[in-house]
Amino acid sequence: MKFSFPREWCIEMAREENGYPVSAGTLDSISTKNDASMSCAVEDVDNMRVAFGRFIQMIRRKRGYSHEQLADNADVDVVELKNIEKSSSCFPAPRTVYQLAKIFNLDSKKLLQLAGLTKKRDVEIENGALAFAANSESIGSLTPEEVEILETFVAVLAEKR
Amino acid sequence: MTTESFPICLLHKPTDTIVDAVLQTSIEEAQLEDWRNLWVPAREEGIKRCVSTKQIECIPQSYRWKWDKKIAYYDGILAKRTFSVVCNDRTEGLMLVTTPAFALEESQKGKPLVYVDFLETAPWNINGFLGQGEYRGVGSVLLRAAVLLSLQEEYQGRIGLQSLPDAEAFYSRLQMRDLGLEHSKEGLRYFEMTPIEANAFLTRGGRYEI
Repeated sequence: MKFSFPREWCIEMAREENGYPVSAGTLDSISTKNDASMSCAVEDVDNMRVAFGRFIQMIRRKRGYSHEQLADNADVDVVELKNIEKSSSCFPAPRTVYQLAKIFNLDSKKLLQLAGLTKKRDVEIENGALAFAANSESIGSLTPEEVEILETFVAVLAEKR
Repeated sequence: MTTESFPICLLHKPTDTIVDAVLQTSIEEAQLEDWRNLWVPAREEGIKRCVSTKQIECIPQSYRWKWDKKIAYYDGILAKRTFSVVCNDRTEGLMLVTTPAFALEESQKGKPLVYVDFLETAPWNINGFLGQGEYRGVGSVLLRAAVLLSLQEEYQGRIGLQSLPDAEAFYSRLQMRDLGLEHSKEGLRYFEMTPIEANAFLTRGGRYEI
């Protein structure tokens, strides 16, 4: 194997990286799911992301949309929508979150916050998200309890400032 | 397979100085030791700090990765190759690739490429996670190694990767072809470098030799 890394090339690229995180690879990697050795801090982050995906799935079902119908009405990519719902580690595009907020009549800033896409944090939303993630199931029909949890959380997210 | 080392250099951001380092054509036990003893504690500290300051968006999206499990999982699989960047006896970056995978971009469809399964820099090198980041250039050097491997395998420099969202802007700057979510895994955008972009990346528009 004969590789060359010209010094000036390395310097130029290092300056061009300019703080961009250069990384690649899937999010849920080999055997890291449900790993008991993961720290509490990591679990908190996971729970926030679980909450966003489950929330979108539950509110979609509550409003009676199929994935395709919601994607079509909200003008978002159906693959991305399915990924948001099924993968706790999916990072949605900001535009997608805006579009979903619009169609569900939610505060887009709060929904972006739930998706982990803004710097501004709100304790009420975070606490609500953690409770929501802990108390909701991702499959089957919505039970009366789930509807209540969903509606409580929708109320938090719908309150526009 | 014998491990080889090639001289590289990195930018030490806090002092704005250039430091010598090496690119190794493997991930050895020493790198996994660094990952366990240095990367993991640093990452935990960063995550706790981000959670306590309510800045979850600063947590690198590779926060769940476990390199020891990845390496153990792929051990002995000939199609998998590993690379690492080491500076002052400390591991600064890790990469695992598959060769060959096959191109999806229309003009290159079906042709072999090097697929970058995982590429990560040490937590202290990530801008905004633990300060401004210590070394710059680690990711670029690893990416160059993937392209050079592609050339060596006679794939003409073609590479493919799933970009973590934070890194999309960097790959776009390199003019990599954004094939969007259609070929996605977990909602990540899929990028490919064709022979044209590979040449431009390696030579920086003809200014450097390959």
